[in-house]
Amino acid sequence: MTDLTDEELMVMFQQGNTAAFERLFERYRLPLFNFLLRLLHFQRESAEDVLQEVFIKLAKARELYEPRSPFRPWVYTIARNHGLNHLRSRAVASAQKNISFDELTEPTSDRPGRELAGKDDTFKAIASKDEVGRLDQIIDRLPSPAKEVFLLHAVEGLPHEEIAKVLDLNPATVRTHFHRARAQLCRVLAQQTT
Amino acid sequence: MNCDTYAEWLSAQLDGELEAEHLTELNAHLATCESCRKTQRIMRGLAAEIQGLPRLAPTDRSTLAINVAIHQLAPKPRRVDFGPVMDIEELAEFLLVSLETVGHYLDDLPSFELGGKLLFRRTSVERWIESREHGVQSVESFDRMPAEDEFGRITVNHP
Repeated sequence: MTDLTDEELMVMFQQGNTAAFERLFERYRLPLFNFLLRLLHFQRESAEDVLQEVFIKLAKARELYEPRSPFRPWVYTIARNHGLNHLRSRAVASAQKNISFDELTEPTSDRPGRELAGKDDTFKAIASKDEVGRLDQIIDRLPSPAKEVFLLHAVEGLPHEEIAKVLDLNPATVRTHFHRARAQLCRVLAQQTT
Repeated sequence: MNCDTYAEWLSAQLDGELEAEHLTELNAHLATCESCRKTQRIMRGLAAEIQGLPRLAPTDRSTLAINVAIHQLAPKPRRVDFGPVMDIEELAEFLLVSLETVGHYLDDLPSFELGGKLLFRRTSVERWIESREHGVQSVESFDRMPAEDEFGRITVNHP
């Protein structure tokens, strides 16, 4: 079963082969978890909840999967949508604390007086502060959708064409977002190492 | 043009996507801007730094919960190994319909009772299906078929 493509495994699952779906889970468990972890500002518990939601959604929506369409963009689309929905519901829950969706999802550098040290609320639930290094902290501040584009391409290795499907953008726009994100990231790193 | 834009050009250049018309301007800027040369050096080393980012794993508890959910939600494989006699649940599975639908056709379906249980002979059901198929001439009208008796006390249930 290790030689089978994602698409073949998903079709087997549609036909009732649970082992095929377990294999897909094994393949995507770590990449999706790490993508979600970074999308959700290293909130480990949230990333685990959303990861579970994603695989439950995949299992329930198996009939909607078109065997000829690539599996990976489909699964990342579901992961991204569930991740962003989670952030939105957190923003609603945080409304009493005056933490908006924008504050949860946009870079702190756009907000004078709320530098990284001010993001303790966001980072408080991470497994260990040591796990969020300098590079991850800067990536976390990238605006959406540049952050997702950067994570999907540079960290998870998806080609621009697949990311275009995930974000419903054209590949040229994805490239623009990626170069902007990488430029911003390297400029900040350059400033920090002055 | 500012250093933010030149940094984007540096990124495009690194991936071989910078338009030729911008290359001369970028090189001229790099010759005079120490900050952008530093950005370029960092950008060249970024891929290696990204490779070093931590890859975390979900907890065993979370992984187990997902595995349990997968099994609960897994589609049931379609059964094909029906025996010569079926009960009403097996008949519904055999006919790919709900129990309710079977109930609707119960007076019409060939069946017999044994020990208080309603049973269906597979070959009889297959003949019943054949009699209902459009464009297929039945070998024998189902209504005139003799009752089966190899199971003891049989009550013929069809009209």
